[in-house]
Amino acid sequence: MWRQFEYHEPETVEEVLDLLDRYGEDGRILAGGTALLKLLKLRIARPPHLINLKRVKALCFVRREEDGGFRVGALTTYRDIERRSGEVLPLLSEVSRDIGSVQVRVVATVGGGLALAESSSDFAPSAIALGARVRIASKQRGEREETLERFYRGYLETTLLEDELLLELRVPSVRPTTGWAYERICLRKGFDIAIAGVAVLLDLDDGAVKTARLCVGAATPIPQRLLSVEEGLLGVAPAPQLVETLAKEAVRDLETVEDQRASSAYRKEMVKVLMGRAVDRAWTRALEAGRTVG
Amino acid sequence: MRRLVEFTVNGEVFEVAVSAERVLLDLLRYDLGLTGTKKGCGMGECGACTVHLDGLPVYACSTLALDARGHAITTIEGLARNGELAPIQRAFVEEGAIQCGYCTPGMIMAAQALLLENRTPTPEEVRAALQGNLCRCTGYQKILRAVGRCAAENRRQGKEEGRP
Repeated sequence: MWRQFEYHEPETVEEVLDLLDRYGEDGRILAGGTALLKLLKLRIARPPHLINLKRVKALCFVRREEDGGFRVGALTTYRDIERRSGEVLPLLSEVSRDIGSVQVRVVATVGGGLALAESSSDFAPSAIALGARVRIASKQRGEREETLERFYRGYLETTLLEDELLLELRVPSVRPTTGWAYERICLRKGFDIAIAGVAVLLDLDDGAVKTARLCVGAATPIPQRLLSVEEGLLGVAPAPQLVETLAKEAVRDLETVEDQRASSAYRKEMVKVLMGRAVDRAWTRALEAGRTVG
Repeated sequence: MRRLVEFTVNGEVFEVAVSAERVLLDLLRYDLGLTGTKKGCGMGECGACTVHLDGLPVYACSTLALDARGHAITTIEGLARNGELAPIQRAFVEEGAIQCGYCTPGMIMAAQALLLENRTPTPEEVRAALQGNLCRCTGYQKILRAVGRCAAENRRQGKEEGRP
């Protein structure tokens, strides 16, 4: 276990920003610890400073806004999102349920997961499909906000600078006629890392798709919106044949990951399959929601 | 640099000198001699080190000891009362859900965490709750049956007491 570090336990956001300002270059943030502790044990991460955020209670929250959107503090655990009584976050509550195992979900945080930028994330493509934004702060420059899509620059790379802290995720409100789904494929049935995942958000109006947002995750180095598929679905009911055609075209230009879990070609195939399933499920949900709304 | 910290384990308070990188698993096994919690992978992937923090299941190998401060830590040693096994422990024994025994403390802690929250889990809920615990011996069937047995007993008790 890497032990040559100076340990810090800030209690407020101000204290964190101050520490990052001073030690950001040499510091690593410890949130839930399920990722970082492993890296410290393997000595892959050898930071001179360790900043443990567990006492910063101000970043643990799920707040519903007046407009129906949500704000999720960076230190909110997946279990918190899963279990929020009465405050079911669209899509995210469902996705959170399958991240890791119970033991992981009790401590692993939304912010930690997003900042880690692992290509296999389920949460990131789902949040992107929802049009989520992230709020980031630093001592020197104050707060900034950007779309989660833009937050990811490249494989394992985000726009976070060394002195910056991810504060919260902002999820826009979804209309009552919206259906959503996230479909993924793993080697095991549970507690596994996704090979490919597709998140879909469909809003319907008069029996046809009014807005569509589709995001691929895990199969690509960073989450990827599929604009061509989104456009192709507008104004129609998503028949399986149409989705298949759109999927085939979209996947042709997709740069998929090749690694020990799956080949690039397999991932392309799976994206097509998952797209079909996710669109179908999201559409069914949207129709049901439409019926309830009346 | 070590600091003197108070820990509450199985209802008892201990004062231990810990350094920042000390993980809860090592605190329990080496500083407190509570070797019931096992080190399997040491990486937060096998579940053998599962303990409770305020009744919630966590991987002790992936928890800094300092982060367990101020929380009620429960280990496998803390389940039995006055020498009597907890219902989940008895169920494991009666169903033959223990072979080499190495995954057992972690499995029981994970199962117990589920039962604390949901006294009558469905088979699917049991599977989901034990996803984070691996067993190389049993093939899981008897483990699932043991937890199911507790769920059934709770269901039966609930009916008797007029609870849903």
